Amino acid sequence: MDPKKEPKSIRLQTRLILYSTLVILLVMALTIILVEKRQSETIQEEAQKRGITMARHLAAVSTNALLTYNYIVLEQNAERVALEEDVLYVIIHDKEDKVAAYSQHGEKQGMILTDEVSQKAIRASELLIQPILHGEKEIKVLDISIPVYIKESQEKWGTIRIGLSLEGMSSQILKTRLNLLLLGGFAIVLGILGSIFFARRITQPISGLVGTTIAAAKGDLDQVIDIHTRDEIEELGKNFNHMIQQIRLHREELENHLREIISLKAYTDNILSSMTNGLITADSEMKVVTLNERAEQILGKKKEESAGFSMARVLGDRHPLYGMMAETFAQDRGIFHSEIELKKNGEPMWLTGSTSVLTDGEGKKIGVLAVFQDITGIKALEEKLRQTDRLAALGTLSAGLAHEIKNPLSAIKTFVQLLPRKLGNPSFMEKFNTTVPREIDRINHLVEDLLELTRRRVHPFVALDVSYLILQVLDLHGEEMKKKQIRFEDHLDRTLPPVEGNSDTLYRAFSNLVINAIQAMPNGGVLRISSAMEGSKRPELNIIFRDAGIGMDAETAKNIFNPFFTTKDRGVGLGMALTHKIIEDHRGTIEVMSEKGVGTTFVLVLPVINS
Amino acid sequence: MEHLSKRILVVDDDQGILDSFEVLLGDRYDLVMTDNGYEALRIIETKPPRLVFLDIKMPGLDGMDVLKRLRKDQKKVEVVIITATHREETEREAKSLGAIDFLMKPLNIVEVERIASQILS
Repeated sequence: MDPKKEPKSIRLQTRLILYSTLVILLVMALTIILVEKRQSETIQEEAQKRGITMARHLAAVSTNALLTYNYIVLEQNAERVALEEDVLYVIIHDKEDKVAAYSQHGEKQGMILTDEVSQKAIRASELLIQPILHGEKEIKVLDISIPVYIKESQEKWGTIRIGLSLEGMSSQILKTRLNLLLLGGFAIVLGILGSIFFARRITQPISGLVGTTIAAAKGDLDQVIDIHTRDEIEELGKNFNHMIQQIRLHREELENHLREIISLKAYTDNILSSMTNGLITADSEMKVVTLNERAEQILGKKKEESAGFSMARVLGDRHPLYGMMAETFAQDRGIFHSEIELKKNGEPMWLTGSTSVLTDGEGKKIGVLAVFQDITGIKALEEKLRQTDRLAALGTLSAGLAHEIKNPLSAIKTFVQLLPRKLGNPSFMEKFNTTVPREIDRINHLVEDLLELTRRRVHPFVALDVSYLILQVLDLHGEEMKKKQIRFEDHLDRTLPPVEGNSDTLYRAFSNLVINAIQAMPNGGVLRISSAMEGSKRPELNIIFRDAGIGMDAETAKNIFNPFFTTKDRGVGLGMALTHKIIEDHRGTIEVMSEKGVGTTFVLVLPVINS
Repeated sequence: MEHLSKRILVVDDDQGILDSFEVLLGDRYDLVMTDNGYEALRIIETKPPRLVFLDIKMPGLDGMDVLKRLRKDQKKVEVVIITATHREETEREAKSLGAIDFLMKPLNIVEVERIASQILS
């Protein structure tokens, strides 16, 4: 509201004084008017009564003179009464209405007065009072006329008239009015003074109250109102004190909350700026809200130039982060991308990032958040590591291959070099015929295994009974196991459904596992093989090979499926690597658990043919 | 008499290598063969040879372990290393442990015969 248009405020004290003065004035005026009226009436009545009394008295003393037409007496009577105060004239009319006596006007004796007042007076049969204006000065006069009758007769013998001046009465009334006005004025002044005094008494505490509330409104809440008027104002003061106290408490509470919020914000800001991850948040309209320092560095955008602008404008509408955030908000679910490719200054840059929906306290969706990390360096390192790993693997493979090939090659070379010298030696030739082809076969097998390891699955798959296949393998190695005092503990379930696979390669895989167990138990032991069905939705076969052999350390167990992996204690050829590959070709898995000195367990899972 | 013996010990976990030594030296020397290091030490203790052809890469106790044990026990036996993979530091270590030669597989029979005749002549 425009303060200029606000009506001018009038102070309560002024208003109280004004109102009470007005009331006093009204009451006093009314009183004065009433009293004056009453007084005037009384004065008038008194004058009238006096006139009438004088007229009656004159009539009584003049009756005989009228009966006898004794004009001298009548004249004397008239002159005597005319001496009375306020009596202007005395007229006595005889039976014939002629003037019998006229004070101060003896010349009018015997005349008949024709003026209207005299005529009315003469004709009146009873007391008649006529207010008239008398003489040239037009003095207010009461003309009182009384007809004179004698007892036992209806005949009128004359008329007595007294002209009573009202001037005296008027001055008396004026005097009374003056007195009343003085009294009234005095009363009004007293009344106004009283009203000022009481208005002050009433408004002073209110003014105090107003002053305090203004101070409180300006923020000074240390105000206490101390009023002891024992009325509503005191009550108001007490309530105000209580209210101020409540406000003070609430303000302190609010200030505490504010302090907490500020410190929490500082804490959050600190976290955001010290985060090694980039963080960006957007509101429901996909406008940037927060961008921490790391995000500024990664995205190459300044917070001041981004906050409040649309993500599409800040990052570009094809930016993967923008896409992720928009999708997260639209579909109400977080997204994780392990690798996000960006271009920064023309150079490829890799991020890993995740998004989540931001909700308020009531679970209402209010925005979206993305946290991301620059993994360009890590990617480069990984690539380098992969290369190193590849080289190391290649090194291991080459070394293993060299070892595996050079031994048979060495044997073949020796035999061939000796051939010219020992051609005629039958025992040499016999040894030659067994050793050289065997060693050549070894190399051949090695090459075959190597090819098998790198070949894509080409073998035809048929329904196979796994238990039968395993028992066949054990049959082949039965003699060697017996020789090495290894006992087979049979826990194979013969009722299991078939698996889909290739009998040659699976046979080879099982065979490798049995050979591994035999090698692990040079001093004999128990090889326990069990099989069982697992899972109902996607039925699988669980096949477990458990030996009580020398076991492996964690490093060996971890690398057991790597080709030619070798430790000081142990070297593996391609057997276990091939086993792993064969099981994977059958959409199965193979895991190893081992403890040095306790034994090794291989757990195979193969999918069952869906009936 | 022990010092005049013509005993040669061949230690290798590969049957083909053992067979090669047998046809190459078996008719001229007292050839003892084993496929592991523990057995080799036992043989050196009980039937001391004058020459040992020792493979490095073997399960259990490998060639270098055997060499170290011999050095520790101050056994007076000539050792020739036979290996499929050549690494300079392995050769250096073997020679510092007293190995007199370091042969690479595939073996050269002329070289093997030369060493045998040199040591056992």
